Amino acid sequence: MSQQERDMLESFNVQAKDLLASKDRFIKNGHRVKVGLESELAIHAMLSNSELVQKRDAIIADNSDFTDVELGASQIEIRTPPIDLISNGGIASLKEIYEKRFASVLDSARRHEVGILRIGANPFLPTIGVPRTDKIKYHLVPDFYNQHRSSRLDTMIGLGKNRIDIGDASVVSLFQSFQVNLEADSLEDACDKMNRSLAIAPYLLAFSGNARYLNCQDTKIQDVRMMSWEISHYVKTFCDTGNWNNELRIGLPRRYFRNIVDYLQRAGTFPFILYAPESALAISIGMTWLDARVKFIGDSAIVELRLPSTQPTTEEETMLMLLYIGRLRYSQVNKEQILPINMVRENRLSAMLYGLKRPMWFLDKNEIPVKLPTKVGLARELEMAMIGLNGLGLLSALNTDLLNFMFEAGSPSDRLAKLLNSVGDISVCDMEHALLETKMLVT
Amino acid sequence: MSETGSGLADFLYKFNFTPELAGFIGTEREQFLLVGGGLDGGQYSARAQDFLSMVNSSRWTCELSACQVESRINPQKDLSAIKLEILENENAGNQVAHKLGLRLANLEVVSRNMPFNVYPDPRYLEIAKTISQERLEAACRVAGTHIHLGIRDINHAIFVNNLLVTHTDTLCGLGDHSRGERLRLYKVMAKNWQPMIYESPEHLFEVAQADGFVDNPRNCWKLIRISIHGTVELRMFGSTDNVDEILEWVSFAKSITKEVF
Repeated sequence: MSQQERDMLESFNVQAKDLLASKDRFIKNGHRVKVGLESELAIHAMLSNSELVQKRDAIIADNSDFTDVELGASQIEIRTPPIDLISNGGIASLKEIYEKRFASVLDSARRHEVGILRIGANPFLPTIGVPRTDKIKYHLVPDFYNQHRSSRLDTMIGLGKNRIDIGDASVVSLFQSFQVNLEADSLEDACDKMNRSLAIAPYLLAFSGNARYLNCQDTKIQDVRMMSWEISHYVKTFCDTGNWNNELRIGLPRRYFRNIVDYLQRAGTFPFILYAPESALAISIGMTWLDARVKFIGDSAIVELRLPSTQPTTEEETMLMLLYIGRLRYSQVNKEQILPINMVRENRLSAMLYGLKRPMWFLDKNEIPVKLPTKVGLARELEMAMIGLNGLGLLSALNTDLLNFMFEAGSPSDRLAKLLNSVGDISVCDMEHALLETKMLVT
Repeated sequence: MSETGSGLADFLYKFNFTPELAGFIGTEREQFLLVGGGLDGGQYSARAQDFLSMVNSSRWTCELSACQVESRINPQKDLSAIKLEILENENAGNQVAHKLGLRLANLEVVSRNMPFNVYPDPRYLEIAKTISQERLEAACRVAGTHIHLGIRDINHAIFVNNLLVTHTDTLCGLGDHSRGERLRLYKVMAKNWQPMIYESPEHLFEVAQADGFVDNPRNCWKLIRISIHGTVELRMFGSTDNVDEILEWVSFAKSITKEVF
């Protein structure tokens, strides 16, 4: 371990200890459901990388209050403030702000003559040597993983004839996700919410996959985003503390977290890569790329759901958010057993690869794991989500027509594939037309 | 056709190559059945028949030892698809084992105090009759993970076999968690364990005659073998709880052979 790494670890430990010592500041009254949304978008136009960066920066400058850059040189992150959904007009307010902010970004994009991609994987850019935002952290981190990933690792992905190389950690620049940030009532509640979220997330992914095409080629995988991240960042040798070992930063932990101390211990086992001792804890949490994680902002412990890809519309994202909140609420109120994590691991991979087409594990009414056709199991999951929403007084906010549409028309990936399946070699033009038709490209 | 020519043709006919599966990967994972647990780690349980009857899936099969079962996957190219199939077996197997009051354990070598019951399968019963107690015990005490690479035809098989054979030591080291004990016992059990470079199908045929697997290539126990399933099979890897480790072995095998797929 270098001196810089030692400094970072030392600072991390001090900051984690301070956080735990002041755990009471995270206690909330428990009568609110404070949610903020984040969604990553990408701009698209037939321009050079530097021109795209200029356009991206101009759009962010137009909307600087609620947007930010991401790893990808053409990516924009859009966010809402946290809003209590069960306050008077709360959910309506969140929807309105989210839609307005997207509309504002879209207006800017139009002025700058670029389109906005609402898709989990940008199909237009190459998977190797993807342009990155010019910030030091966006160079150091992917470079670290490129340097330490085993040269023997098979980095070709795809279930059909197209096998695509994702053996560059900056491939993450192609991926856009939709994130739900939910304030917890305490550190204990944050840990409980995170564990339950890890188990719930694959059910949401099973019908919302939106990252199938890379390099204008069909991978035939419902959602390549997280698996590409895992493979391109496959470095396991660093995490070895006895309590946590052989872990990846990405996806699922080996087991559920016992408490926040356990969560912080795991976070501290990975290489820091970046050097900023004053922000060691924040850096470590920022690089905890689990499907769900706990973040600490001010006096709030926030559970962030990270598995779903950006959806074609803000309405679909709002619907996913509500289903997640409702299902989590049901799980917590009923103190439900959580599915064994190895079954979650299977569910997650099944959802990523095949969406609804392969059976998944669910808990039956006696909370025994049972494998069911996914559509059958999800019907009960949705029921429980609706019970949870009803308990919060939010059921009327759920757009059931849209939900029915998503199950009938298939996931966004399925919808796109329906338009492109008959095309042999997909051109940029074919892809643009299909994306426009499915609302994944907005101009 | 000469007698040798006819013999060669008959021998090669035993291999079922499926060209469209060239480059696909299959895995077989042997696991022990244990009952009980606690500090002593449980006792070996010769209940493979009960387990297989309850799991009722073509992806599960018996082994020579009635204390072991084996799960296999459908051929896949994509690493994540391979992982999913292994996880599916793992979860289904664990659930069935739990219902029977058993558990599945990834143990590379187990102690001599296990029951040496042979699974009541005609082939295994026949093998058990013909081998010494020492070899039977050696065969029962080890478990591993086998990786199959789908092959186009016999010439392709020989080419892939030969590429892999040059990496035998590295492959053995990569899959070893028992300081070589599993492979030591494997070699007690399988006298013809040493992988070989074949010059041609005729040479393979000659080796098969000499090593006694000409009538049944399943009796070739070389750590790298051309299997009747139309694959080249790597048999040196041990047991692991970590599915990703199996994928690392797959990746390595793929990296060695990537030029020929």
